[in-house]
Amino acid sequence: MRASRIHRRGPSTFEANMTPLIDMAFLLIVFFVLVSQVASAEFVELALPRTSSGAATRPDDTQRIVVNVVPARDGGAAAYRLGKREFAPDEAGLRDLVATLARAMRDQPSVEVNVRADRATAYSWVRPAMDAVADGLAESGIDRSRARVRLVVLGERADG
Amino acid sequence: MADAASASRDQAIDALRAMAAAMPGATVGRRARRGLAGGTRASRRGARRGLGGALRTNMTPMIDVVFQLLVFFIATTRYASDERVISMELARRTAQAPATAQAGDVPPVPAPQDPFVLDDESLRLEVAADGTVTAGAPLRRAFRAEELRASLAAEIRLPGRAGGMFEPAFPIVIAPAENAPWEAAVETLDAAVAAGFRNVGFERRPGSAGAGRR
Repeated sequence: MRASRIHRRGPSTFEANMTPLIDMAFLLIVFFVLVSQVASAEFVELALPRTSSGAATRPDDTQRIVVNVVPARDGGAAAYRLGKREFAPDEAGLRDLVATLARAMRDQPSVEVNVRADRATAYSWVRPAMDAVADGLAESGIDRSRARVRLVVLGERADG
Repeated sequence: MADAASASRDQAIDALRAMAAAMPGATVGRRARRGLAGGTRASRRGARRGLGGALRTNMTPMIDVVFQLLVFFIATTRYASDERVISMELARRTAQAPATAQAGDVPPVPAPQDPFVLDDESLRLEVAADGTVTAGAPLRRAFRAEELRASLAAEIRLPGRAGGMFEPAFPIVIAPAENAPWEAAVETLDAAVAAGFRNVGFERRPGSAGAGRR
């Protein structure tokens, strides 16, 4: 004798609908894949210089170009990197970098240029990057007072 | 015709029986199952449901992998949240120079904002490779890296404070040595700005518009 018609097929099995869960999981995966790609284009793996407060501020949401000084051994630089493009640290490469920066500044006059360099990189390898920003600004012919170069540092001194 | 049809049906049933024998846990339809003895309670329930129940895709491994990927990407995404920037205005006090200037050329004459302040009247801070800072003309002394911050703060003349030699607008030119590490250069710049100087910059490259000034 059965208790009810509903339970005729035996004890019911509970099954959650997995489809929305899988949808969300895939969306999140796509998001993180894209974000990490954008991030890897801008952030070369390097140890930023540490400062003890002072001039450093949090970056705001202005348009920016990031110029990375890719560190090499013994304080040298392997290349200058803008987005996914690499420029050799010689005269031709720097001329390319200046032209690229000038074009970017003409397209977005309010752009700010972040210069990221390793803390151990010698100054003689960082200066060409900053000079390239200045030269690119001169070559683009936009209002000089608006474009700025920003040196990227770490927020706090790790060693106290 | 009818014989051929029933023969092919028998063949199909035989094939299903063979499959069922090969996969003891699986269920291959009510009819094929009935011929076999035994079976667990779960497989008997599956048998009652028929083929549709048996061939349902198992989602568990896929969800496992998806979550693994999700955790991987969340864990490996790097955020730049601990980065700070030191903003510098580009060559504010220098005249427009041709970008094609040769290294041997005479540097362009700067156009100072204040006619009574010459552009070359500035405090030059030379940064050595070991982080030692040597101050030039008016100050003429060397700082160790640790005392630089306090010393520069003591040299600035602020309203309502005694002592101090330099106005906040006095130009500070930082001239790192070729082999000075970038961190020492940035630290010197940071110390000068933290002390309150408003006109701090790196030394200009000879014969060009030069790098930044804050």
